[in-house]
Amino acid sequence: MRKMMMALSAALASAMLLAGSAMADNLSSISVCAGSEDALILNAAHVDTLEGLSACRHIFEGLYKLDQEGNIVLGQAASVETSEDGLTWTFTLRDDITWSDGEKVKAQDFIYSWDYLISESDSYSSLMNMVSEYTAPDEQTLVLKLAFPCAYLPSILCFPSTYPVRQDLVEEYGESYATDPDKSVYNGAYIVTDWTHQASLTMQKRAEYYDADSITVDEIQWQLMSDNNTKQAAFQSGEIIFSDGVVEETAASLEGMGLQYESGYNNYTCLFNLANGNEVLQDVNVRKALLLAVNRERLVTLRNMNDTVAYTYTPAGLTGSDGTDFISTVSPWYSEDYEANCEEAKKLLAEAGYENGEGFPALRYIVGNNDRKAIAEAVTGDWNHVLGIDTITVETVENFFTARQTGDFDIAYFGWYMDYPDISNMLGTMVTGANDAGYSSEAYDEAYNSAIAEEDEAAQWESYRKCEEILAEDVPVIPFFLPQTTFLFDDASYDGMVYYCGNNFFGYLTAK
Amino acid sequence: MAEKIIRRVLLAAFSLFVIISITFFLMNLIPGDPFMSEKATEESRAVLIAKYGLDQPLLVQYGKYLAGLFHGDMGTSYVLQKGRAISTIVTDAFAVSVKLGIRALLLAVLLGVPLGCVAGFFKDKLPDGILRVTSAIGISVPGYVIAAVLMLVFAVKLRILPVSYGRPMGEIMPIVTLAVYPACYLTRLTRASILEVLGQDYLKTERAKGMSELVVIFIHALKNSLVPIITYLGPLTASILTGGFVAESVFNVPGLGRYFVNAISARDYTLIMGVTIFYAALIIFMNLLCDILYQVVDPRIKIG
Amino acid sequence: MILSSQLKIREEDLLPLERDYYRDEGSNTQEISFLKAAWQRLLANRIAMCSLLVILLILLFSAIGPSLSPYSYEQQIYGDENMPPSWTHPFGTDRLGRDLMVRCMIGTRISLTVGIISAVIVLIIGSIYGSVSGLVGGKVDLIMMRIVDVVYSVPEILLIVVIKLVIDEPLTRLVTSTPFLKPLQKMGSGLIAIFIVYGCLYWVGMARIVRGQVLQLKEMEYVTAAEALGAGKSWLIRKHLIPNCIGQLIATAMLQIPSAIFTEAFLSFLGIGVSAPMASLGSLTSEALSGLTTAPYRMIFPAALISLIILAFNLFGDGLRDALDPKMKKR
Repeated sequence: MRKMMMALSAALASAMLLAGSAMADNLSSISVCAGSEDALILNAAHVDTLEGLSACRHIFEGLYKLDQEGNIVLGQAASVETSEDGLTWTFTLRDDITWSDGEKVKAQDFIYSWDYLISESDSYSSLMNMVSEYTAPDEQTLVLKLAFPCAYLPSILCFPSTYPVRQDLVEEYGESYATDPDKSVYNGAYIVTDWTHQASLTMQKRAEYYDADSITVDEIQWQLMSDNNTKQAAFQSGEIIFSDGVVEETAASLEGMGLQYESGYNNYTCLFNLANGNEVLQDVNVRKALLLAVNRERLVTLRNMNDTVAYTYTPAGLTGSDGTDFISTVSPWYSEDYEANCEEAKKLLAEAGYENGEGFPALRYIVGNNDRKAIAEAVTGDWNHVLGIDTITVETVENFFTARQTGDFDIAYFGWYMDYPDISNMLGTMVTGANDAGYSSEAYDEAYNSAIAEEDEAAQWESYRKCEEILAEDVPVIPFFLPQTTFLFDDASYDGMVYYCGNNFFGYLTAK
Repeated sequence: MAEKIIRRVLLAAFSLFVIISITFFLMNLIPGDPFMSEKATEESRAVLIAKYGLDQPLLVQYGKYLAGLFHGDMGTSYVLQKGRAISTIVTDAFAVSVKLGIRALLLAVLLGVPLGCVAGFFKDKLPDGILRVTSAIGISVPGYVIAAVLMLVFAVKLRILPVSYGRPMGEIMPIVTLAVYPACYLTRLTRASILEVLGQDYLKTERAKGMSELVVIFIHALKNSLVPIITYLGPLTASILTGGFVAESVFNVPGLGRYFVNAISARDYTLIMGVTIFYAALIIFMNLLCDILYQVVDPRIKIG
Repeated sequence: MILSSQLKIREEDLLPLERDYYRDEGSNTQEISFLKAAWQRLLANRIAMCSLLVILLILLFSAIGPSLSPYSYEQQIYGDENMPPSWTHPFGTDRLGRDLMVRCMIGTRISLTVGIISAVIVLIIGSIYGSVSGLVGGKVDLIMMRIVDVVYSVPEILLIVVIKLVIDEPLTRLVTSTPFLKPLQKMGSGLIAIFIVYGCLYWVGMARIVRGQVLQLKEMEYVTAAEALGAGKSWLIRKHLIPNCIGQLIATAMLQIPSAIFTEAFLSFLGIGVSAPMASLGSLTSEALSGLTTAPYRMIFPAALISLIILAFNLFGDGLRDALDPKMKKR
């Protein structure tokens, strides 16, 4: 009954919109959740959060953009030519693209933004590492020279960190560039009109945007919320039509009422601190015993979020040109038979000198929030249950990323949300220096580097498989399961949300 | 008198300086720095640390910070609102906290003090019993439980109040969350101090003179029991005006309270300092104000 | 009515005092009679006695309960996840299949420990500081009170979080290297941070109260008279200060217990309380927040326990203050 009422009021609301708006089927305003204030970064060189990236996709646009189906298509560029060897990409910009202050978008804006991205040295400063040289022969042409043929370059150039910025504004405002609506200009479909810090941000459709006709939402209100309980309550009460946060425990009860699952391109694991964690972790038998004793089926049941048991580090869904899933070609890290795994784990632990967990030292397992704490406690429960280790405590640390990075842990949660669906983006997280486990393997680095430079898919996958095998042997990390990305979206009333690797684009929404 | 006040103000400034120094050095003892995020690399961190001068000796940083402060410059936020001036962040947030806080404070005082009088008046009778139990429950339930239950009932189930602060009527739930504890505490405090004053001899005289109990309570007892209430109101006002972390984070209020915790977790050094200075100054000012108020209500107390 | 009751002169008031009344200067009859009277006043206070009973029951529940329960607090009973209250699990079970009753018992134990230790810390530091400041007076008093002012204006939440973060690492190292501190590791550094912050910050309230009492007493005519008659400082402290302050002191210390339990709960809300699988009432309630719609029973039991503890300590503290305060007469 309530649902019907909701649908009715939504219909009424959209009917009123129809009357008021010039475009027949435009939505005049929608409200969505945008995470916490610190997540909403609108400076392309600094943005590194999912919410910030989503917001940037609305107000800026790169050489590529996402279309209504979530495919990567040319955006600010009208055309692109690739050389025979795949090493030179020449882009020609559209001639109808402008900034929100009326200036034309020039090739130099891109050049400046890439220089700026690198000089700001923030999270994504090395994103364009495969590009060895970029030049702008004239105002409308960009030439990119690559270090190796990179098939996924479009997904990089569709990533907000590579979007253009205006030199004059960056120089004028310095630190405070893009921290308030009047301190930035935009070349995307929307402009920011109001930003009540810590509360909400309003975006209005930009009439001069070259593809304004396809944008069906006139105004987007981004509500800044940090707490998942709050987000879910706001969604349930109808205040927002999209929430990126779901309370894991009660998520299942929202099935059919807006709960959405998207293929994750992410994994859910825990890391060992091999650099300065407890000495016991140096013993590969101990790590293997811990790896094998995890009851993954139970974790999946506990979470109740449509996850699948992980047998590899790389998640599912990364397909080759013939549609084969990469992980189906990788040999699993452990058997499907949990009982057998447990027996082996007990044997390995006994070999390491801790039969039945006796004398096992105290370890600290850190996580960042309550949902992850529940999973971590289930895992330590298995270790207690199967291996007799009762000395591992779980702590929710408020400064989680810092703690993990400074190495103030023995075991820590780790999950990687891929920025673009290419295997390199996932396996790159275990390269020497890039991981918080303090894991360093020459063999691994070599396999990885040869894979990313490889042109032939079969040979490339061979090297990626080698990476997986080395990881399974060294166990710096324990894969648990492959999560889906979950969010709440009012699909009973709206259609046309674009989802891409944790990012959303709301501009194409239509009322149902 | 004037000399005494000047001395108090100087002392207040000194207190502030001490707090600034303690916070500055303590904050730098926390492991980590502002530029650690999941995806940042070692080199990029080093560059940022150098850019903000965080690689210099601590004393140099301290000197620079004080020098900046002396010229009214509190710097810009490193993390939470990258690049925005701390003074703008703090004053913006404070404006919101004041808007909420004043109303919560009024609600607490207007409920708590009269109810406390009622309880005192009907000591050991039914209304007293009811009030004592309700106020005791009010001070014994953690704020986050109150906030969660309010949200569940009024936003999710009944759908009569919005979750976020920015919506119409969005202030109601955060105000109530903020006001529950002080209102109940004030009820108990007022009751206790009224009973204490009622036992004193001059009131017995008043009674003996044949004044009605009601007049005795409202005119004489309340006036004389104001001292402990004011003592409590000083810090209460400061803490309510700077916002409650729970109410603000649950109901999405862009106030100051959230920064106390968030700024630390983000290692946003300049913001931690800004918030601390502001809070400490407010407390010191409130205490000063309380001392002056004491004199008004009870001339026997001297400004120390 | 009021008039007559006020003016009523009881018969015993007119009787002559016993012969020995003034003679026993050296012995401590007066003290005994003071405590005795206080005890009698307390016994007569029904609310306070009920609260005391509740406190004792809760102490029993948390001290003996866990050893009577067939489950242990960290035991995950596979297959019993998310069970509502039943005969086998009177408080239900959590997401991981742990019995909530035994977790509440352990949680109560932790929360009470936090409360009582904090109260003791505050009582000791606060009363020593306050009485020294009040008794010595002059410049020392001025300086000591300025320090109190400074401490008073430190934002406490900020300090708790900062101190917790600062001591986290050294403390973990200390605890793992010192065998007899091992049990502390199960509790986690968050709790120890609370003790430190209470030691550093919360004593100021107590110190102010004690100093106030001392100053007030110093002004009292009978104290001046005693001093003039050559009474020593220690005699003054024993005979007048302690009996006069103790009510306020104990009541304030009693009120520190709920305040510390609250602080611990708040830290758990921030996610920096006890280390899992250890539980406190705060961590149990904040974990239950996410399941409020689907499993409200997980919130009700620990929240009710917190309320009950805080209520009981508050009411008992009030009763104790009334009983110990010689000025408070039965009205």
